[in-house]
Amino acid sequence: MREKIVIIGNGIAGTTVARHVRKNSDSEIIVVGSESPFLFARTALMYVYMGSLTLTDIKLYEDWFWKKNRIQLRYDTASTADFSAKTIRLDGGESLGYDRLVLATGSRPNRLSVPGEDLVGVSAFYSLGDLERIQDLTRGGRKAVVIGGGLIGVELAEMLVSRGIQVTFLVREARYLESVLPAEESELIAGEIRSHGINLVFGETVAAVTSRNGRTVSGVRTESGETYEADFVGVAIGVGPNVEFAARNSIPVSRGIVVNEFFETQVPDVYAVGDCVEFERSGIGHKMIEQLWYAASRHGIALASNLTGVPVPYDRHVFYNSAKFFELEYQTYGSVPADSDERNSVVWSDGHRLIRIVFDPAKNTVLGFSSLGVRMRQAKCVEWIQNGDGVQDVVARIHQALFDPEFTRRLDRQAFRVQQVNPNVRASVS
Amino acid sequence: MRTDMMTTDRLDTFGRVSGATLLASFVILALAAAGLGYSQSGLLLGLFVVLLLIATAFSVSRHLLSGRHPDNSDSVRSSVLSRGIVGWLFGVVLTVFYVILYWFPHLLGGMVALFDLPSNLLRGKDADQWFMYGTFYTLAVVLMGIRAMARYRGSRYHVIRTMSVMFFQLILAFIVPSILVLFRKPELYFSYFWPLDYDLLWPSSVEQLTQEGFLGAFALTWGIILTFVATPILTYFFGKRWYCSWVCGCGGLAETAGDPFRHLSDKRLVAWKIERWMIHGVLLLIVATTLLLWLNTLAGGAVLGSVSSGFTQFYGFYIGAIFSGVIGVGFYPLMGARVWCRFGCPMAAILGIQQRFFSRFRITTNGGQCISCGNCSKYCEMGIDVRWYAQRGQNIVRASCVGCGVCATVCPRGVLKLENGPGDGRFGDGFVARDSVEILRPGD
Repeated sequence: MREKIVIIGNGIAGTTVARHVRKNSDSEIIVVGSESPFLFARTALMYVYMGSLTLTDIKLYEDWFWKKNRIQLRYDTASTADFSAKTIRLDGGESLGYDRLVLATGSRPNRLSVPGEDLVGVSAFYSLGDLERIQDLTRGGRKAVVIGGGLIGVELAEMLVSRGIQVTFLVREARYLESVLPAEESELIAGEIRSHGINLVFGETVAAVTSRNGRTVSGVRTESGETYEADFVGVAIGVGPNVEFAARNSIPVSRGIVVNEFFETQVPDVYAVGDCVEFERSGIGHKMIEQLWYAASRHGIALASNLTGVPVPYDRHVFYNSAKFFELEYQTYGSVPADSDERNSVVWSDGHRLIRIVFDPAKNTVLGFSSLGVRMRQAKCVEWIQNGDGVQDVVARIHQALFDPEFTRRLDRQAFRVQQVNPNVRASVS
Repeated sequence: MRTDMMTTDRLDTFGRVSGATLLASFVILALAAAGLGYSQSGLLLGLFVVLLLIATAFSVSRHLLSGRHPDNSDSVRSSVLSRGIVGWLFGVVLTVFYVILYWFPHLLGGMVALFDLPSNLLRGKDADQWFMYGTFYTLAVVLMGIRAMARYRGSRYHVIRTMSVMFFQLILAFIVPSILVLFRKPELYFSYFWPLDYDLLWPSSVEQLTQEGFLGAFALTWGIILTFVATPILTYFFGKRWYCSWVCGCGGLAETAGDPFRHLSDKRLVAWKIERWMIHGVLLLIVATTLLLWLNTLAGGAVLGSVSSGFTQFYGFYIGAIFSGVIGVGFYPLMGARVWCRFGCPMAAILGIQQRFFSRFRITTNGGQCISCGNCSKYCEMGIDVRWYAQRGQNIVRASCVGCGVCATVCPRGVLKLENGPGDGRFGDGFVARDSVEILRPGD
């Protein structure tokens, strides 16, 4: 009798579990998804809005892929579970028995929790439904306010400005991504955003979304008393784990569905991966919730090997992430604390591009990299971090980690103004 | 330039004006063909060129007004760029033009006469249909090349590569052959080699060239060295791109005039299967044809007898004219600009086999950075599903890749890089998959 694995959620986490279970085993695999019939690249929704891709283009696999890999899809919503009988029930009426159940329910956008947030003309930007709604709401639009200083906010701003809409971008913090990025990076990004005609305002917290007719949005009012006119308000203040199914069925949740380093929930034979999980405090000792495209895929691979082989604990490996702020590409590897300065890092910048190398001031070993406008080679950066190479060595060999296209003007280290140099590494930089 | 001016509406307007002006230049050609070309050739030629320049200026402006990263916001919505009604009409017009050019040139009438003036200047004689065609071709590569440089100005790779194809088309495939004609020499093209220039090494051509004195001997030696010595060496070090997207005229047209249509290539697995059968079939056909012709010549006509001319005519008609010309360019608005390069070109087939198995070229995927957005696959003119590899952390090593570099340019995360690294580890160890092994066996 083949084992039957049922996965709730057909996003990148759930589908990665399915693909890798299939690679390793002959199990019966059923994936339930309610947002769309197929896996699509959530990361590419902005390109559909802007017109360079279609919805078909953002499917990760052709339609034959699922049948060929014997992954059964259900375009339906899972509502209830009976863990003693090992079955779940779908809204469409179907009952699915399982041997092991995987929850990959993703995340949902955080709510503002201010008056007026449910007015017509207010939307988050997360799902396919949000995309369609924003396409409708912004047709012929004139002015918009985007709330939230994260990665989705800047995507929304870029989308709206491409349609000729005047965008005010309200950020609660004093600088862009204050809790994640060092100050120089924040400044470069803010400059990039403003150069595209965005009215970027820091230090503003929204108090209310306003309306003149009580039905459609007319603008926002901030706690400082300032008002901003808008016919569309985009809310991008982060996402939180979607624990709806778990909570309804009494699977223990905290902020996310609580799992250990093997992705086991506290219900036997029920697992959870991706955006929706929160690792137990006793677990792996890093960030408790990882809501990243990359992390979801790594969770999926790890859980699949646990489901089909010898269980081993999840290891996040050397952290990495990337983003694009209008035309400015950003990459980061390893650890780059937001309070990095000259005591723990070397920075090259010519005012448009930037590379930062973070090191341990006590041992002088390299801990992390971030770059803006310069592409870095992940394998090289990770190798140096894992080897604990000395910062002087890395500075001298930094060209080995450049990943810019051929004929890119060579990153002349002499021409790059060295903004901050630790006395210990000055000699090898200048 | 404040980029808050660059709304898609505004860009669309520039695109529409450019398209309308191009259409007007076609009307001029139609008027010329209808007879005005004989009586008003100077005026019509002037109008034609001015309209083309205006169309180019608007198209170039459209791209200069958008950001340094190429703006593709029109490729899904524009009718001509997304197989809408205008796209189909354009495809039909192009195809009909090729059919007339090849088989009913008398219908071109006064259109050819339009080009008497430049033809006399360059070649010392009146234009014929092929001079006219060469002029169209070169204008398309040069003017649309300027547009491509504007569109991809954020990447020096594209700017330099585009200048290269413009140079080879303008100088080696247009001016040099014309000047040879001016001096009563054979019309030779030094940027095309066997088997793309399929009859260059056929016995009849070889015989003819050896009778042309120094120039003929040079052309023959040049052709043989390029085919059998330079091509394998250059392809080993740089991949097939050294030819297909830097030198070749077909590739040059695809990279310039065909650039707006690049996303129309079919990305499905089934298209890749058809592609492999077709392109290698054509390669077999030309190799067999060439060998048979030589055997036949060496045996004094004993092998094929009278069939030999039928053989050459078959290849020339179906492959040389219909496939590379009518379908190759006529179908730009329907199947993208690389139909011939992908499904038919025997040169691309040979270079591709070598690129796949004996070359240092690859497109490196940057670790696990792919977000699966699909821009790379969408804008691959060769129909390679680049994302399939990138999202697995694998390098892209594909026979068909012409190394245009657009996948690396449109990637929003800087995941792809064209490289001529050493052969070891060329396929990449699959960053994502490798990590899964580490997860399985953490102690190793």
